[in-house]
Amino acid sequence: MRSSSRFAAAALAAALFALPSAAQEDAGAEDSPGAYVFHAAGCHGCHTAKDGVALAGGRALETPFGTFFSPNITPDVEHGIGAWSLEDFRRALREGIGPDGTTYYPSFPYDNFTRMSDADIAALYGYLMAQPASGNVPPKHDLSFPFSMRSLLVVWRALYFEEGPRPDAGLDPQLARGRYLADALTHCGACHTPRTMLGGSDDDLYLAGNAQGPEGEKVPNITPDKATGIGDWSEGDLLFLLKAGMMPDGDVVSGSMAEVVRESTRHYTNEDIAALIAWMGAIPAIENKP
Amino acid sequence: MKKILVVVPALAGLLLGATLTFAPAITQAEDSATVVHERQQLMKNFGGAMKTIGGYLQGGIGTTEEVAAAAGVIAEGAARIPDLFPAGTSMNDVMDPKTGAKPAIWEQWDDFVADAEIAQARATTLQELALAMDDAALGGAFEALGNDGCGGCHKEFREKLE
Repeated sequence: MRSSSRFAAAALAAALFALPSAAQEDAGAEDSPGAYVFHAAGCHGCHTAKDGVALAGGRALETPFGTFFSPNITPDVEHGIGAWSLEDFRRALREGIGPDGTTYYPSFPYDNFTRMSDADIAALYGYLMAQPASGNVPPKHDLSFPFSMRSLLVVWRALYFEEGPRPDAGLDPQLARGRYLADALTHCGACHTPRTMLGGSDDDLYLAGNAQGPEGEKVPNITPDKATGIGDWSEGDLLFLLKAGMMPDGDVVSGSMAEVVRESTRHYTNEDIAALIAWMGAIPAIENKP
Repeated sequence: MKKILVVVPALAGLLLGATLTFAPAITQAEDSATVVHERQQLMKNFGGAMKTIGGYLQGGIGTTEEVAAAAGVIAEGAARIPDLFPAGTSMNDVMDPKTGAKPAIWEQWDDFVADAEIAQARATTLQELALAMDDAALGGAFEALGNDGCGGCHKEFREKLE
């Protein structure tokens, strides 16, 4: 019988949750590096409509700025991304600009994906291009004025968009990896960090909760603040949240977070779980009740 | 009693077609208050059971017998879920600030019932593994229960309230 409750998260994860070892032959395989990035980045959730074809878009994302409908990212040449080169794809993620020069709304969280490494972008591209194509044509965005004016994205970009991966600047490698998972791939801040009036990420409240999350959800503060955040959670508590969706009181997460656990975090390697947990413990505690 | 009758047919379901099954209707507000209370208690029991299993996995608290019993609570309780969600008891119908039962439950009743069945199946698997004292497989079974069972239903059908 195990008796110690002072497990390191990685050791606990390794003891409890077995993962298959990675084979890396086929770019579209479920155990390929591209699939790993795909899951961690949560592409499936936003790009698949309810009961719709996987990745064929059309999921409605209700926000304070209006309703966005995700595009088709299957390799269909006409209605998906089948005609895109790797460079087109890289530019979409890194710069938020489509092959035809269209600037994307940040409902596509390219302010997160811009931080992805070239290697991860290439792996993800390979994976997506190996998925089944669909000719689905999603509805157009339905946005309120003035957000319906795409030209205004110039302002958003000037104020909030910083292109490219962030330097590690002496950060401990495990923390750097944790930050990369949180910010570049799983884009936790897209929901857990509040947005300014103009839709920019309010970085002074990094992960400190968002009263107006996507789909009308109130999103909790996940900084280590004891009163308003998750400062009293143990590493084991975080592990169980990220793997099984269970919170310390035995309740299981709902709505978008149920989807995030299911699609993304439960697929992390044990090392990545530990890295994310380390990062969550290292970020500033911010007192904020959304 | 004091409240008016609350009879809300699953209109959206009717529009979807005749092959769907329907949630049992409820006729009196007094019954709906009782049933809401009852299902909240059921969910609390699930939470307690999850905590018991989590405590064992995380810190070796308790025994496999207790884990099996807790999984049994979830398996047996999950079988009761459809009966505890009669039509007319969504968060929009019932004057109970604590119910987060989304109207989608009755719009997609078959999905809801299927989710409850998955929860029951995953909990039963976990119970069997615990009875067999198969510690190595419990973590994975717990992950499946949380995600496919509890989370599968919570994702679509439950509004998290404070």
